Order: sequence, then C-alpha cells, then structure tokens
Amino acid sequence: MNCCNGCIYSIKLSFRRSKQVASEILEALRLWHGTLKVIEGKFGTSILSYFNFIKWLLMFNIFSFVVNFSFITIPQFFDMAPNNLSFTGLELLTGTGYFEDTVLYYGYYTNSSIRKDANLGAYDMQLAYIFTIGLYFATCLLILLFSMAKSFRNNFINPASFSGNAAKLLCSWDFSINNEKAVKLKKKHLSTQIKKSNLNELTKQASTLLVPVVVALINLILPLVYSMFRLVEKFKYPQHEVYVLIIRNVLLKFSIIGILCYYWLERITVINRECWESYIGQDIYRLVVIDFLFVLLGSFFGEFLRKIIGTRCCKTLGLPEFDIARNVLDLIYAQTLAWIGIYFSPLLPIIQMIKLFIIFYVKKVSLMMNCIPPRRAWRASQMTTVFVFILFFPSFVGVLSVIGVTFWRREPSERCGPFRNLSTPYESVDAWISSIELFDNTKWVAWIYHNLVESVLFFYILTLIVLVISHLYWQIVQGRKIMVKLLLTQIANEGKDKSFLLEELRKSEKKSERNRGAPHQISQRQVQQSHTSEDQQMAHESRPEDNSRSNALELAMRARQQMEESSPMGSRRASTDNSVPSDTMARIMRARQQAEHEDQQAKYEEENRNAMEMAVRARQQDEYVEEQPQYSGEQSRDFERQHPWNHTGQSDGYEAQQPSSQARTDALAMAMRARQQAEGDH
Amino acid sequence: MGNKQTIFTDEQLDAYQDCTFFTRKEILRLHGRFYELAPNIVPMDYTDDPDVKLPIQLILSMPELMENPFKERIVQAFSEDGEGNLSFNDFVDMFSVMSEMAPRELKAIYAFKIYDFNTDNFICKSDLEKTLNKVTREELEEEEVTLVCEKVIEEADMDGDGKLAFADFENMISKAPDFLSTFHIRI
Repeated sequence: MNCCNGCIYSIKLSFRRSKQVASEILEALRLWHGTLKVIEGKFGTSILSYFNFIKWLLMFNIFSFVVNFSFITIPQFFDMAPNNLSFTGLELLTGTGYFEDTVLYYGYYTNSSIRKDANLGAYDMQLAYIFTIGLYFATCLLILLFSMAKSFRNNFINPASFSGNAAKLLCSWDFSINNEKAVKLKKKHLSTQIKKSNLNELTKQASTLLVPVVVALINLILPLVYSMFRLVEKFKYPQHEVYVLIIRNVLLKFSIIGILCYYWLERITVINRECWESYIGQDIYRLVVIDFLFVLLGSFFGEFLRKIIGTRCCKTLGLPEFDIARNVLDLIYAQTLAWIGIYFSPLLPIIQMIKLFIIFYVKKVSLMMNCIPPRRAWRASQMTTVFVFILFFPSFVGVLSVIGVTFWRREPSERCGPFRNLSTPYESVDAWISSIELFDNTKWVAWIYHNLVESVLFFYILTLIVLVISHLYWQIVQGRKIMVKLLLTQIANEGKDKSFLLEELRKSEKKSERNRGAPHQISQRQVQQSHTSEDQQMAHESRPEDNSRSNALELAMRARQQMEESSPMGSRRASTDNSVPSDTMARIMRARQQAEHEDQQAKYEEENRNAMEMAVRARQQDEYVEEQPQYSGEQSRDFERQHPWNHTGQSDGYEAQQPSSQARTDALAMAMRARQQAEGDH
Repeated sequence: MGNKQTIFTDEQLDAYQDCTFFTRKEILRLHGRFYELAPNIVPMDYTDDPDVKLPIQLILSMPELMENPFKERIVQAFSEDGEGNLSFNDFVDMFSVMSEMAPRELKAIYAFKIYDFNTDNFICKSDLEKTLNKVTREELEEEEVTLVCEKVIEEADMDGDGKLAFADFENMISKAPDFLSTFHIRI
C-alpha cells in the first residue's frame, strides 16, 4: 500500500517537474516580456491589450509561415526552375517582376509529384497545397473559436453589472502602473469619471500601385474623419461612442475588402489571364506592403507631427491620444488580407510577420515619445473580446468563404500553379481518392470520403446533432439563469433577516440605556412601567402565527443581550469590588420573585408568552435593582459597559462572515437559550 | 544551477515552485531583487533559511511599488507581522499573488485585505473614503466622496449591514472582468 502511494507520489512529482521544465522553456520563449512590462507600467492594461493583440497575431503568422514553408516551399525547392528575371528593387513594393517566378506566388508551384529518389514515395504537390492550407485554416478556426468563447465566458457573464460605482472604485485601479505621470493621469481620469457619474447618472510598374495606394489612403483618412465625428455627435455614454466608432471602421474596412474580393473573383478569373492566381497574389502583396507603409506614415503624421503641433503651435490640442480601436482595426484588416493571400501566395505570412514585428517597435516608440493613454473609458478585457470577435467574424469567416469559392467554383489557370489543367482545385482530391481506391489497405479512406465527406445526408445529420446539442446547452444556460435569480433573491432575503435582527438588537439596547440613564427613582420606575406595557403590547401585536418567527428572534435578541450584560459584568464586579451586594445570583433571585409576582397577575396568558414576558421583565427588574447600589459609581459602570458591547460588535462581525445558513442556526440557538432561561426563571 | 554561488538548495527551489506561481529562474531573479534592496542585510546564501526581514521603507522603494497609491497597504497585507516588514518568503508570496498566474479567488482575498485599511475584516465607509482619496488625487469635494461611498455600499452590500464583508467584495469582483488584469504587478 505504502509502496503504491509512494509510486503515485513520485509519478505525480515527476509529472509536475516536467511541467515546470516546460513552463521554464515557455518562459524563455516569451517574446517582448520586458518591453510589455515597460508599456504596461507606463500606460496601463488598456494599451497593453493592443500590443498583446499584435503578439497574438504574430504567433498566428509564425505558425502559418512554418507550416507553409515546411510543407509547400521546401519540397518545391527540389523542383526549382531557373529564374531569369532581373531584380531592381521596386519589386519589393510592387511584388511583380522578379518575384513572379519565385516560391512567393501560387503560379510557381508545380502540379506534378516530386520524386527525389526512386526508392522513396512521390510528394504530391497538389495534395500538399490543399491539405496544408486546409489544416492551417482549420487550426485557426479552432484557436479563434476557443479564444473567443473563453473571452466571452470571462467577460460577458453579467453585462448588466458593468457600470457600477463599486467596481469602478474598487476594481479599476491598475496595480501594474508604475510611472509617475501615468499614475497622475489615471487619478485624474478616475476623478472626472466619478464626478461625471455623479452629475448625470511612376513607370508602368508603378501604376499598379494605384489601387493599393488609394485603398490605403481611404483606410488612413476616413477613420480619422470618423474619430472627428465625436466633436459633433454627443453620446450619453462613452462606451456607445467607442462602439459606434468601431462599427463604422469595420464597415469601411470590410466593404473595401469585399469590393476587392468581388473584383478578383468575378472579373480577374473571367478575363483569363495567364496566371490569375499569381496576379491576385501580387495584388494582395501590394496591399499588404502599402498598408504597412501607411501605418508607418500614420503613426508619423498622426502621432509625431500631431505631438509637435500640440506642444509647439497649438497648445490647446495637447498631446495626441493613442487610439486603440483604430489601431487594432488596422491590424485586423491587415490580417484579413494576409489570410486571403495565403492561398495565392503561400509565403505571404513571412511578410506579415516582418510587418507585425516592425509595427510593434514603431508603435512602442511612438507611444513612448508622443502619446498619452486614451481619455475615454476603456474596458480592456471587454474590448479584447470584441476585437477577437471581429477577427472571427467578419474577418475569418469572410476569408474562408473567399477561399472556398476559389477552391470549389473557380477554374485554375491553365499554365501555372499546382492545379493547372483541372476544372477546379477540388478535383485533385477526387483524383487522389480514386487512385487510392485501387489499394486494399487504404479503402477505408475512400469509404470515409464517399460516405461522409461527400455525403449530403451525413452533413444534414451532423448539423441536426449540433443543433440539438446547442439547444440543450441553451436550455441549461436558461436554467442556470433562473437559478442565479433565485439565489440572488435568497441573498437579499438573508440580508433582510440580518438587518431585522440588528434593528431589534438596537431597539433593546436603546431601551436598556434609557432605563439606566435616569437619575430619579420615581421617574425611572414610571419609565419602566411604560416600557413594560409597551413590551406587553409588542408581544401581543407580534403574537399572530405568521409572526411567530419574529417573536422568536426578538426573544433571542433580548435573551442574548441579557446574558451578555449580566455575565461579564457580574463576574468582573465580583472580582474587583466585593462590597457591592448585587451580585448576579442575587439579581436573578430578585428578578424571579418579581416575575412570579407578575405571573400571578397575568394568569390568563399562555405559557409561552408568559415565559417571554418574564424574561423581558426579569431583565428590566434586574437592571433596575442593580441601578440602586451603583448609583454613585455611574461613570465607572459606563466604562465597564463598554466592554461587553465591544465584544458584541466583534462577534457580530464574525457572524457576518459566516454563510447565511449559519446565521439562521445561530438565531435558533439563541432562541433556545432564551427560552431555557425564561423557563428557568419561571 | 550553474551559478557561481549556491543561493538555494534544489529542495528549496522545488518548495518555492510548489508554493508559488514562479519558475526557478524567476525565484532566483526575485532573490536578486530582494538582495539588491539591502545588500548588507540580505545574505546571498539562503540555504539555511536565515531569518531576515526588510523594513517597509526599503520595500516601498522598489520601482514596481513606488508610485502605487496602495503601496503601504500591499506590503502590510503580505507581511507576517502586519507591520510591513517582509521576509523573503513574504516577498515572494506578494509577487506571486500579484502575478498573472494567480487565480481570481486568491487575488480577491488579498485585494480585500489591501482595501480594508483598519483591518476590521470589513470594508466600511471610512475604508472606501480612504480608497477614493487615494485613487483620485484628493480633489473631490467632501460631499462627493460621501455620496460615492454611499452609492458603492448600496450597490455592493448584499446583506444590508452598511459595510462590505468579504462575500460582498468577492461577489462584486466576480462581475468585474478587468480586476484580474488590473490587480497585477509585473516583476
């Protein structure tokens, strides 16, 4: 047994060690750790979310580059055709000329099987192309879906409770900021936010650059115009302003991409150029590169020059803000282009990688030198969710549909690319399956293909199953929501119970103080009389069955008070001042005598209520008796009284931390004690 | 571990790894930071668990904490004696809880401690007022401060006792998704 436990322990230990080793390796790979720390320290989490987004996109592109390079480009190197075109330099911008005959574009790839060694199997380029890109998109889809779902789960659980003062005050301080200026700015933002919420609730070649330059110009200028709209439009909530801005920019960027895609797929494919895929690839390459240049220009003019103007010429403008929404949408736009481009130009991810890498540093420097954090309310985690969502839809879904149309509906060019001489790229899969059917040991692949992948019925059933499952989950979610509501009302009720108890406690406390405070015996007695009658009345009023619980509570409160008052005080007095005759026992005796006397007078009353009233009266009498010998030493007594009340306060505090059921059992226990005491007196 | 000098034994490093969210390298880096604060007090060799505590003033001089308005409270919340003197264990503990790996529940416990200025296990009105003044450059009017604090209590106090118990606080935190990312100090 021991041996077995030891064995399990050591396995667990080694598992944990290996996990730690893995985390250490991951830590070493963590890119830009220090830089991100600096940015976070200076500008807080909201700006950091932009840089994290860049990092995340970079990971996507590194992954796709590695996959494409290793499965498509490296095999192609074994089947290289000589490149006779000259390289001038402008190609870097236009992507045409020299690059046309390189691995950069679709058109260069062969449609044959590559066989280096007769002993080894052949490498089918068509299939490699399809499966690499297909698997890459499938992986992206999964990653996007999971990160989106996770982000939604964490950040949109309960959107109703977002605009809270409580959260604003206690959760909004960014502990990671360690820059003096940023701290000051943050403080200023918070105070204005709180105040507000209180008040209102060249050559032929170069001519190809025309389209990308126009597109990039539109992309650069219109968002700036949009952000100027806020001078005219007045929104009640700053969040609405941000959302409207995002929606406008998304509509703009995706209508541009939509028009381009329509032009590529409907016009270019019909014109029947020599190699239209490569042509589209070049178009996308230019768009990506020019967009990159305009991002650089944008941060130069939009941020650097703006800062110069703001600090030198027109001081009222002040420093420019770092517009996270616009910058992130630029990134999403660029990523969409890069994704579309993967099919037409498998090595486009490397351009995108370089681009993101440079953008990271340019933006960092520009931010550090020129900008201040955004003034408007910015909920970093919520916005990240929105951005991941936009990246998924329309961006990724749109890309999938464009690639899908190309793959299933468009005829590939006749003279270039891996799919030449086919009517659609998809035909290569068909051909592969029919070739596989000849072998016995791979028949199952063909079977899967014919009966599952190609079968309409299978997808119909699959869709049905998915719909049923999502319906089930939807119902579960609804059920949980009801449960949450019930639990919330329960919490509210418990709160009411507790405040009722406290109210009662306060009442009786006041009473006992009034009883004690009066100096004249006669008036004291009168007051006491009136109180007794009040108590009796109260007992009568709260008597009905439905109120039996509050009765018990009242009783409990009083009993407890009595206990607390009598026991520590009595014992203390006994130890410190022996000459005082009224020690606890004597008081109880007297109280009981009085109670018995009262009891005879009130024979008609029921047993239960008797006991309660007695308890009440016993206490008052008790206190009254105690009052007389102590009359001179009022002050010292007051001091003593402090002690038990301090004690009560603490125990109350303790109770508050307990779960609500505990509070209820506490009340029950108190009621029991009260009754016991009362019965004892009786 | 290839160092010129042994700072921790392997067992110690394993223990630190088990108890915190840090890797070995990070533990060693933290020791470096701790050592930097007072090279003449903190020994380089920690293999025999020396009982060294750094006073709060030294800890507060770290750039990660220097500008934080809650710096004293943070250090006090993590010091074993409650005065703000930190042993190396407390120090590691502090940055472990503030790291991004720490779960929400753990962070909530310490955030509550930090905001509970008078350490009565409740965030009461005076605590909120202090918090508000610390995060707003003390430029709000007195009535505004009172108003905001009342609103906060009204909003977050589930059991109606006029102050926020830990359960209230935790409940509020669970609805504030930003909390996890903002209650975070990168070391």
